Amino acid sequence: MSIISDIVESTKSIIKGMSVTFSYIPKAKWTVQYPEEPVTLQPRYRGQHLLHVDELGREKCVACYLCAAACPSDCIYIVAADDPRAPEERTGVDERYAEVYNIDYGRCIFCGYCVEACPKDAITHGYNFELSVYNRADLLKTKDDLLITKQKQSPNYRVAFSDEDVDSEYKEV
Amino acid sequence: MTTAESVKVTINGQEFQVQKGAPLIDVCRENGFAIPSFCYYADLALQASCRMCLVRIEKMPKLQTSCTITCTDGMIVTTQSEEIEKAQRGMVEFLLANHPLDCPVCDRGGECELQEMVFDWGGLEERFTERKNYYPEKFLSPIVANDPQRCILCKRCTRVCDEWMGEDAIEAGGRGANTVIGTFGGWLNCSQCGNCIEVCPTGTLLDATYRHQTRPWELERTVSTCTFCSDGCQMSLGSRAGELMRVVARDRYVDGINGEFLCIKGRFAHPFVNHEERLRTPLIRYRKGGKLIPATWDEAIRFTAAKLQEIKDAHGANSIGVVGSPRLTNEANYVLLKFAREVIGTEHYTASEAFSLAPFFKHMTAPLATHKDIRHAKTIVLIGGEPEELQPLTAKQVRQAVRNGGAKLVIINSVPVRLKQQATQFLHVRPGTEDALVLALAGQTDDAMAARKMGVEVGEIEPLRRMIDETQGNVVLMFGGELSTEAQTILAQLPGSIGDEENRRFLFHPLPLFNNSFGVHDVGLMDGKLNATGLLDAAGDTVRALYVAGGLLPAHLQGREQALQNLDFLVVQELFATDTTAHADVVFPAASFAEIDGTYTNNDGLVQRVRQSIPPVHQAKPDWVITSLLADALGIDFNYQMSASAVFREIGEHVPAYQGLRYPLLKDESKPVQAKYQLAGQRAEVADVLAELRQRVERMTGAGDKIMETPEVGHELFKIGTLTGKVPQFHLLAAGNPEPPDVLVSPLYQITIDSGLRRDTAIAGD
Amino acid sequence: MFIGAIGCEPLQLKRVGLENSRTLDVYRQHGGYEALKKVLDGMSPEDVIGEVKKSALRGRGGAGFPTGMKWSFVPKDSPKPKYVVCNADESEPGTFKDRFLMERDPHMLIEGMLIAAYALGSRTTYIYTRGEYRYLINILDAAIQEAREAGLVGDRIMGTEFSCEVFTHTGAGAYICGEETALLNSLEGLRGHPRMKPPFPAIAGLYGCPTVVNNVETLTAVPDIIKMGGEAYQKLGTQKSGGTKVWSVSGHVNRPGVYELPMGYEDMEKFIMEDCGGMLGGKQLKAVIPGGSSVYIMPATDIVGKKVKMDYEGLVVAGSMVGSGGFIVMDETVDVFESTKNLTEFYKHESCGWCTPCREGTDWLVKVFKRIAKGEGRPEDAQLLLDLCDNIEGKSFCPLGDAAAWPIQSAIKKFPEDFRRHLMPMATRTAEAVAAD
Repeated sequence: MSIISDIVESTKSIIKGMSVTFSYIPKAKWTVQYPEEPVTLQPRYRGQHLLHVDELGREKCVACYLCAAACPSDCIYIVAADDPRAPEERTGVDERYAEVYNIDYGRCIFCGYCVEACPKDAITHGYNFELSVYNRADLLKTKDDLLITKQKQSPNYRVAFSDEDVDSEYKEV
Repeated sequence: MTTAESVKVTINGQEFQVQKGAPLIDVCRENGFAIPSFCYYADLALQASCRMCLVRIEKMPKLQTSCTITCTDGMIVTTQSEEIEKAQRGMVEFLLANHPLDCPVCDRGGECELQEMVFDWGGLEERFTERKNYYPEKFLSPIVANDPQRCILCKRCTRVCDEWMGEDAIEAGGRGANTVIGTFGGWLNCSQCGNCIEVCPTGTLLDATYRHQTRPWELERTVSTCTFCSDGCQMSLGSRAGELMRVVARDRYVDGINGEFLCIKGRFAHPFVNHEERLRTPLIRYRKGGKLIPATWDEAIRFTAAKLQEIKDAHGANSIGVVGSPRLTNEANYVLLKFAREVIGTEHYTASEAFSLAPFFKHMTAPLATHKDIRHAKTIVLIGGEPEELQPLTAKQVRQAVRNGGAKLVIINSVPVRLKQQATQFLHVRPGTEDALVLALAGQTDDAMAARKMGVEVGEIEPLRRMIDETQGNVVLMFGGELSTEAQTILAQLPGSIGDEENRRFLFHPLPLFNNSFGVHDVGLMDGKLNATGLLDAAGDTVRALYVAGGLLPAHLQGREQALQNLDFLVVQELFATDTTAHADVVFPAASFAEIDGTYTNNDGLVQRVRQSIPPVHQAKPDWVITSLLADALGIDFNYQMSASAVFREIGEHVPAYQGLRYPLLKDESKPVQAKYQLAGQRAEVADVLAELRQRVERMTGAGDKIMETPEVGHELFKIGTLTGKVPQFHLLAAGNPEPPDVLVSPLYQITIDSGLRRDTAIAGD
Repeated sequence: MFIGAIGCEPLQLKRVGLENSRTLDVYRQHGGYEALKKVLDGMSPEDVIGEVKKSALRGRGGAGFPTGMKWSFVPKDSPKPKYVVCNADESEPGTFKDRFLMERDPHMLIEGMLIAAYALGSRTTYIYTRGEYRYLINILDAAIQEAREAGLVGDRIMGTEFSCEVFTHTGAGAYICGEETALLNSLEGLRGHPRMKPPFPAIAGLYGCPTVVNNVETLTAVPDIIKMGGEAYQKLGTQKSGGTKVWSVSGHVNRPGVYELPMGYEDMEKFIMEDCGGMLGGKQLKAVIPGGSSVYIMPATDIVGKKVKMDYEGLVVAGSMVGSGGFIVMDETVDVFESTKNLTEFYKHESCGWCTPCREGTDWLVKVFKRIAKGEGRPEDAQLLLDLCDNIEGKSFCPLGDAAAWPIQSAIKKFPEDFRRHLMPMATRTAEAVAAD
């Protein structure tokens, strides 16, 4: 193959590629100005986990370990314990509760199996997605970080309504 | 079974030759036809109440329970058909009707037989839409938790309590759908063996010490041998993240000599392993009267080696005594003995054993009985000892031999032990006169004299002799520590003098107290010049330094506390700070049985593996490693390369009874290997011993009161020792197992027990 | 209330109407203890069993097993003691004949037991009554004492070598203890649970020894069999079920009571309409439970004009059973759903809890019945009930499970209308009521 045909071929490619680029210039932009603007998340978005409580503020988790068993990346660690107090004074809804509940976000793949496995609806995916930290050890989140009563929600997102057509926002270009 | 007649049985169209009278359910299962069942449990009385094992047998009306049917010739059986499956699915549906859906909080979840059954025979949807019967979860004792709602009333627990333990502590109460398993008076006063928990197929009876701790699939399982008594039960250690969580003998995890049997100590006394009071680092007392100060391993080893060398140089090798322990592995004791002989060169080595079996091993004329032999024995003679408290598995086998096997049991004891309920004959002798019976059995005295000394009727001895003579099958001779060395010798020679007959065989089953009592004899540690008390008595005099592995028995130490003070140097390897370490100059933190590899030899002579379940806690090291580090520091490298199997290989080369044994040969706990003990012949030299024994018996006063009271259940088992004292539940039990105000809450949270309340020293000193 | 025999000479009920019928004197005046004398005077145990076999006497407790055959199962050469136990745990709803016999003629039972004991080589016999019959114990004990004083019970009866003791024992009020092996457990002081069969009590019963357990009426028939001879007794009834049978008639008839009928009495309709005085208040016959609660219920259509023969075979042909002879008559006002619910509650309460299907099944059935009664019935419940009954029937440890299932199965099959009415959802029912107004 000669040099000339090389030049011709590469020029063709450049023109073809750049034509795509240039064709976007006149179109409307949909870049979200995060973090100045909040991101709109799908209702079923799988963010950082939330551990739920019941109406009395008791943890719903009974430390059955099914989430840990279901977890494909083995990132959930639980230590179960016994709470002998009267039902209304307990930490959890049952005598059995999770003394320690850790999720290692260095390993979590946000597959949602833990949520599906939970027989008590105690764990769901929340919407917090800003999980980056400066120290890898900080990726290990404890019960204090995960409990719905304690987890600090980021101001940088809003959740779409269930009938809101979020997709078109992105597609309509 | 002497009549092993073979019959033809057709199962699902296939023909099989099976033993006549075999339970059909076993035959089907052995031949690969799965039959579900809950209430059927091998070697327990038949129940036929769960109705899961239904099969169709031709020429019989209705479906039949295969557990109650025994095989007869020409039987045609169908185990799988639409009709049977419908019935079985119906039964599971019935069982689930009132069963709560609380698997997430149930400790049995994950290893529950009902769960497994539901996977195979459960319906897709629940048709039961009514209210379930409700009972609150409660405690039956500090150790047994009970959720009556989960019960499927298979009654394995009540049968086990009755047939294995002879205690009958739990029974069904109520009627119909309101039937619950309960206790007499609402609180469980028994030996707390926990076998009811073990055999429970659901989460009805649960281990209250492990309650709500973790889940079974999270546990790493290690098959190991119990460290508490000489029966050597096989068990499965469940550990998680370096912590020993529980001990079970469930036969799907471990299949040892004990089946699913364990006693309270084996099952519940394990929390000492991860106890916070475990010694963390080596400790050195730099000057007498000073404090024990934490030190590095290098420093402690160097310090100890230098001191030992110094004393050896100054007073000679024999001034250093080495004391092993029947609680340690064969490896530890062997290395200790090698250290004493080769590194120190002392003749003063021993083990802190409660009583020596050396005369027995030297003169034994019949092989050792395994626990299986005991179960199928025809006559059992128990001289002294109290197996219900000190060797619970032996007691269970004896009880089953009598109850389920029709064996005859003769008990010769100064205490009316509980096992006498099962006894055909009970000779209630005066304390300390068991020797006289041995003499009478040997035919070396007239019965009248022996009877007078023992305080029994003359006519009571002859029936016993006749029973032994007339036995068709195995005669097991058991004896405890009550016998003198002379009596031990004569008893060991007895089978040789009576002689075997065609259908009769003698077997021995000594009842030592510790998990490796046999091992210390086998490796030769008991062959030293002085025994443990002798060494202590010589302390400060001819003995200047002691190297103690595993601590001294409280019984030995009693009244000899000063002896340890008199020593120039005392080295101790221990798990906890004890009375012995209080006087030690150097303390090494040793690793417990759950943290090491090794072997124990039980009272069957079975050499069984101990396996590492968790890494040694803190800075602890296995005993034999500490000894070899010391040897190394003193200039002799044992060259074991940190491998317990290398130590055992050497044992297999040097110890005659263990000739040729290697770890791989001991791999399978279901096929335990018995050490090859040399049987002695009839010996002339025992004539002297016999004369001595006769004199000893003649010296007995033949007067004095008998002990009339049957000891309480658990009087030995519940005692607080160094290890059991680390378990809070044992303190409750030792204080008389008080019933808490509220049985719905764990007694531990409600009752505070002054741990100093009852600190009598147990015989076994756990 | 009627007490007497229809269609035959009274045998069982010969003395019950007399004054002081329970005393030894009256009993002896009317031929009492003659049979025992005849037996002791020259009959061998085999002769006695032979006569009972010839009489075609069948167990009156419910199962209808031939008594002579049962007695011959007891091993003659067993070194163990043998026991005769009288099952007076008459707990079947609708049955009260044994109470009458024991209350009014206790000596007849004692004589029957002594003859049975002689035939079986037993020296110890027990009368086990239900807990609710505690007051009968005094009557029985007094009769036994009277007999003992007359040398009829105890050592050397009537001066012969035969010695036999009769003991009374009362249960604690459990239906299941009417099942023979549960009765034996209860008699031994254990929980009233049925035992595994085999071994049958004839081989290993009370305390593991050969035992014969017979109903009161079975044993009271024995003296007459001996007196009149087995064949003559059999001729009173049919070929396969000999003698007479005592029926406890209750329910919506003008003359309820205790009726002694020959086996094979020709027409049930005639029995109800004529012998029992017809239906109460002239209402229509709706259903009959002929043999105590544990048998299939019979609708009127199966009785009227069908000439139902009243014996073991005849009733089976007609779709039910003799059972214990508790004859319950129901008129058109009875809601069979309600009566079945009532019976099911009884079985749930009396289930001993040993085996899964009976324990959980009866509990479930009652819960379903209660829900339906509350008006929350669903159309599929009828099928559910039938299916549950099917899972109980034939799979339980003892016949109590079957007994609980049969009334429901037959009630749903024979009276679907009664069930349909309850199974209709509330809304439809209200609409119907409105439409009807």
